[in-house]
Amino acid sequence: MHYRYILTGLMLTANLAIADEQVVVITNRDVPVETLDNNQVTQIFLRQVQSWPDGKTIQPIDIKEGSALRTEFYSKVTGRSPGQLRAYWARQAFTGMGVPPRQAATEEEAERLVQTTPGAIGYVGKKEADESVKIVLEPDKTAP
Amino acid sequence: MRMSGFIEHIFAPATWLSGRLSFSRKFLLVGLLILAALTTLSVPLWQQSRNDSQLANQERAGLKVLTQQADTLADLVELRSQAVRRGDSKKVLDKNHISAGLGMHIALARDNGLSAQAEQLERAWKQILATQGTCDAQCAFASLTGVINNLLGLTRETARHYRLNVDSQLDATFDMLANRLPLVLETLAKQRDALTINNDEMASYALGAQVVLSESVPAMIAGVSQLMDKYPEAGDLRPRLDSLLSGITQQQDIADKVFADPSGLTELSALASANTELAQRLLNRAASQADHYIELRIGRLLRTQIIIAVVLISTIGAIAYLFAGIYLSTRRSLMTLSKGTDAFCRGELGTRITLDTRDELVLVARNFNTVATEFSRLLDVIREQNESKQRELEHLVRERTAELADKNQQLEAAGLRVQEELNLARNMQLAILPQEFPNEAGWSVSASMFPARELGGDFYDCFALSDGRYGILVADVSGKGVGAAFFMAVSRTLLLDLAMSGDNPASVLSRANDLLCERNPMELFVTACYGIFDPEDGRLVYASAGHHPPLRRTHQGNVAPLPCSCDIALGVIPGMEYCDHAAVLDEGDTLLLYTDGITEALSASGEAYGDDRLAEWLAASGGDEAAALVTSLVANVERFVDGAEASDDLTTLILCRKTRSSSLGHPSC
Repeated sequence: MHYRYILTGLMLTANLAIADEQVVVITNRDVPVETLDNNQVTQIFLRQVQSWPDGKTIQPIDIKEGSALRTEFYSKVTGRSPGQLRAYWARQAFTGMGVPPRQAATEEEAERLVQTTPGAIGYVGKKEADESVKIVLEPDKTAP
Repeated sequence: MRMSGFIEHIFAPATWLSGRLSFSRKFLLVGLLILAALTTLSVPLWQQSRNDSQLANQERAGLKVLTQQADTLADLVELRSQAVRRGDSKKVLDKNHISAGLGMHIALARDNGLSAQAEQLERAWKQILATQGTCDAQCAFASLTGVINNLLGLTRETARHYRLNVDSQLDATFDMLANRLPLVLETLAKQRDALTINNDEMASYALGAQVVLSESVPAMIAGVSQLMDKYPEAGDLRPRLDSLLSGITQQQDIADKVFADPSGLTELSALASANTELAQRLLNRAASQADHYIELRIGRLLRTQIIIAVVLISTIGAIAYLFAGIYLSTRRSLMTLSKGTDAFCRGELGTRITLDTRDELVLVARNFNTVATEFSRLLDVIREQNESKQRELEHLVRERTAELADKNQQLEAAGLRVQEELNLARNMQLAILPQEFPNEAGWSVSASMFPARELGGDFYDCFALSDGRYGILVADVSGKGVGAAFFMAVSRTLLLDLAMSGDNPASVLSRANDLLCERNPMELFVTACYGIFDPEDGRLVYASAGHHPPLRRTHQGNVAPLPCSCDIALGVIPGMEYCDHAAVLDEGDTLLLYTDGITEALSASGEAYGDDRLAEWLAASGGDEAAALVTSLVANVERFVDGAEASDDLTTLILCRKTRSSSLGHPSC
């Protein structure tokens, strides 16, 4: 039990550290868009828009709940808290209207999945974003 | 009368048509009209029944599809439950089996024109297959709920396609089967699974879904009640429905308490699971009972069609049979009447017609028999009268025949007498003509006369005058028969008396002409050639009164008529003067006097003997014997005539002056 508390404390510390990092929205290099706005990204991650302009399926890559980057992303981009997000997906799941995006365990896995999955879109810390992906939105820059 | 005329006026077209059709065509026309009427009345009924049957079959097919879709729904619900529980289930499910079922529904939906629903269902199921193993419980719940929602939508559209929603008898039942019960089943299962996920948000939605159940209760009650009303055998649905409704009510009670006591969620999940099974059983049983009911309805409709067809065919058959019987009976009666009439007309007057029917034709036959009987009776009367008249006639004929026979006998007797008298007269006529002729040493004469009838008008004569000369005479009285015979006798007597005076021929003929003209009441006349031959020197003095000139054959065989003036016949013009002519017959010469009976004798072919043939005969007939020459001439003419009836008296006289050498060898006659 002590190890669990210690681990939790470490994770919170890490999250706080990441939370200071700027989040960026990245896509696979083949995605036929260069920039997206907050509204478009919100629709994509709420599965309200499911295909790119060229008709290919959008594959949103989420990060597991509990991640500070995830909280920051949804807060800055969609304006939804984790509780609101859970309620949204519970309603979608109960009514069968949609399933939540695929979830990566870590930021690195999310970036890797975006790199390797055609039509994928995800979010990572700005430092993690390299040339292998395409940054289509930097919420901190667009935020008023 | 006015009513009768009105009726005739009304039925005039039908009467006109009937008068122009034979019996067979009349029956055929009426039969066709009845057939058309029956068909017109029956076809709509039959078509309605057939349409109802087709609709019922369509509904049954739709119900079968609904049942299959409900089975797939149950599998999907169970799959979702397993996915949520992560394999914690007693039932082992095969995704391939579900895929096959969904594939069948998708294909059928495409065939039925429900492509949009088919595409959505297929896409949702493929997404599940694609995300298999990468989803958490809620994700799997959401994915399978999406598939189930698409299947429910397809079920509703399938019901519309098979017109289950517009069935006038089971619309509520089909709404329950295609819409409400699947939705209740899915909601109950979703409540159970949502509560299993152990998520506060999901639990709240599960509680919120309770309203779906409450709203579906009236529709389920209406559906079951309607089916039980139409199909009392479906009464076992009522306790099942009551159990389900009771469970739903219990769920509502628990849901009401959960807000105060969240521990009730576990109980609610268990109750939802139990109610899911109740709903599943109710759905299966209701679908089965509805199928039985539709099957019975199809059977009833089929029986209705069969009954309509049988009634129609039987009616048509009965009418056709009846019409055929009437036609054959009438035709047989008419043929019997016709044959009887024909036989009667052929003379079989005993013919009577007997019909074994009871229609109006019997009256016709009876009238025919009455007419035939009366006709026979009248005929017997006429026959009897005829026989009586015939007997009278025969009697009269026999009398008349007897009279005629008597008259005939009298006539025959008279004829015989006349014939005898004619024969006597003929004999007397011939008797007054000389039958013996001089046949002297220096000359001979002979003559003959053959009358064309019993009595002739020709005559000849040869007589010795007082001075040693001989008179020769040939005459021909006009006409034939008794009158000519009498005139011949008078003329001969007169000429003989005058010639005996020794006067020259012209004087004799002149005097005879005057006397005959005085006593000729019948205005007959006579041609004559009279000559006086002197045997001593062969001198001949002759005169002719309209007669043929004499023919002379010299001893050299030359034949020529003697010169002769063509004077008028005796008895025609009084006071006539005739001319004498003289000729000398040398030894060996032959003189021929004849009447026109010789030259005008006709052969069987109508050819006349003629002057030329006579001259040829005379030229070829040398000799001194006048009798032989007369016989030869008569035979020659007979050969020429060859049995033909003589047209005139045939008379000839031949005088031969013998040569001295021959006269020495023959004695005088």
